[in-house]
Amino acid sequence: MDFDYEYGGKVYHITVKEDKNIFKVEIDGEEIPTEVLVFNAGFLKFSIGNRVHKSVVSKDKEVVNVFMDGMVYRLIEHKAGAPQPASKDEAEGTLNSPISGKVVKILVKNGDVITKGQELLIIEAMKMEHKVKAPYAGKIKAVNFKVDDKVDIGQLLVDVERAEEKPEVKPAAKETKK
Amino acid sequence: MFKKVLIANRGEIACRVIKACQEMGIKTVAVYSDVDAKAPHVQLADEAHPLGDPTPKNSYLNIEKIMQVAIETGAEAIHPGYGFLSENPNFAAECEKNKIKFIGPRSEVIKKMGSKIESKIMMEAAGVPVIPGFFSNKPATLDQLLGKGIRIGFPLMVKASCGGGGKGMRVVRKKAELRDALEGAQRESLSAFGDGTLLLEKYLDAPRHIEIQILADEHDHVIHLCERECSIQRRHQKVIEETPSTALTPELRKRMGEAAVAAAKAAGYTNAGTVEFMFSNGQFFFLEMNTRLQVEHPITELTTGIDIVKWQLRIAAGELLTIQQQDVFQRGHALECRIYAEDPERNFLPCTGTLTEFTPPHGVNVRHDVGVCTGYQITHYYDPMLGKLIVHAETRNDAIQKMLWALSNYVTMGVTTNIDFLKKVLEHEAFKRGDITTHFIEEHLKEYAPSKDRPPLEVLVAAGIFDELMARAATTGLKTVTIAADQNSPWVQGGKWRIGT
Repeated sequence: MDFDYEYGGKVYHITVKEDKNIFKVEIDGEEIPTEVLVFNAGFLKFSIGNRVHKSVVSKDKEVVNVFMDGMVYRLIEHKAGAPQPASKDEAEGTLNSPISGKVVKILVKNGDVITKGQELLIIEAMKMEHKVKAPYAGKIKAVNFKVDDKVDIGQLLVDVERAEEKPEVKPAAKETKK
Repeated sequence: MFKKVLIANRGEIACRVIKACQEMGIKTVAVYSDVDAKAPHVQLADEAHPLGDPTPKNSYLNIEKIMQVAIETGAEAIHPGYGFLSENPNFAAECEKNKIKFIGPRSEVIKKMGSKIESKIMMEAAGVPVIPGFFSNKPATLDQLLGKGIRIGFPLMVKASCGGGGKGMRVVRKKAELRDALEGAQRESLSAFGDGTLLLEKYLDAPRHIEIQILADEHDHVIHLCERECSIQRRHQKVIEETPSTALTPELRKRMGEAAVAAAKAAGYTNAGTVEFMFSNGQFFFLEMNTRLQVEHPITELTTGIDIVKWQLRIAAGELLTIQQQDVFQRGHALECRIYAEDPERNFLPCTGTLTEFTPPHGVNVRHDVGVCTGYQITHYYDPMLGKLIVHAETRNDAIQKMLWALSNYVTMGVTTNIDFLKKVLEHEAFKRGDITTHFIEEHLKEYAPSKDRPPLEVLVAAGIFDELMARAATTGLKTVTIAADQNSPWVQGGKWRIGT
């Protein structure tokens, strides 16, 4: 079967075939013969050549989490052949308050043209200040709170008219084997 | 000893206290908000009572509701844990009024130590070194403060007496900036705390944050359990703690310990507490006293072998503290990492979601104080700490290696954590040398960002095979698939695996 996984803004195309317990995994044109040793409750142990690899894999809707060598890799599966940007909430952040707290500073006003990553306002909760940054470029249509207002999780902080932009997801460039 | 204790907290610390009570044969009462109905501390306790609305002020900060549960369940004492109501003098007073023992110091001691100015005046009188500067409980005019500031010299710190979390705090580098800074700090403090009282302190260069754990019984016996080095902080939040500190000599440790004991005696302190010091160029200065159990208490427990929580319970029950100072020794080196659900890519903002997998590693001298489990929902309501990973080894190097091993085998999925960031701190050459200050992260890891490069091929292989096997099982409708397995592996269970387990 074919799978497309997005990681770090790039999509990797993978084809998996099986031949007598040997899986042939093709990644961007490179074929990797893999022998599955154990697959049990998310624990996946396999060998490539004479190297053994251990991983723990879990899946929640389109998100595939792979734990390997102390790192958790969060891959997003795209339906094969139809690359689409990752769910906006997850990959880009949102304009909804990330936390319940109090607005301590507002750094933008109506009509401001903002760039992606620009600081919009600061919310204080449990002694900590959280900066809310623009998840994408655009123009401020309304700021829904003022300084000292209490906000609840998930409340929309500012309305932004999103600027036109191309989807960020690009197919990965072919990499040569090391 | 008490027969029943209520734990007015949640998460790992509630679990920690409940276990100590259970070991001692004390019945436990947990309280929980709506979102915590299935939380581990609720499962663990002998009985659990709802507080309703998860907003902290309506649940774990609600004195009235908690007192009511305590009275109805017949709890003789309340352990407040840390955070929430642990340093709230009104809560301690309410306990005293209802003849329920508050496991901590008396309410008036909490109140006194809660004021930056009052505690500094008290400590100076007791001969404990304080940061040179100006502090008075009589209000000072702006001009007076200006004059005092110039006399202290620059750089200096302007702080609000009631401040916290960086509020009302300014670093002033030269005379020309002082008036603006004073006015600004006063404004901020007035609007945030309704009190504009300021104090001035000399600014310490490259300071470390070193604290001393103390235990004091109700019969005038006070000892200290040596230091904890807590300099690795991000935004005033401790991230990694260790003991012993690489900065202390036995002589300095003894002097700081004695200062902490003097501080506790001057305050009339009882139960477990922590005296925090700023340490700079071989000198130490009283910063503040934390009148509660600290998050990082386990590292002291591992190196001294003393169970601080059990002693809290015994002391609160009026028992004698039978440990003498000369019986307290540090053995080996302990490190603690706080595992937070937070996203380094989004400015370390707390992360929410379901922990699809949570399997901390087991190993020799590896301790987990956790309050979550696989399937647990992380919400925005409370602190995003999943748990504490604590290791103990013979030397500091061994402890760092053990911690790196444990972090590398710490499986948490579904919620982004700071584990990779913690590893970067521990692997840093300056950290390995023990060359740390409270500015460490700012100086060395400001640019930290998780790698966006192509993940290792094996990761993609694992994902592909996982999805392939799952898809195949779904299309054939088979619930188990047989695959050839390595017969020497301890993981083999009949060579079959089951979908959805």
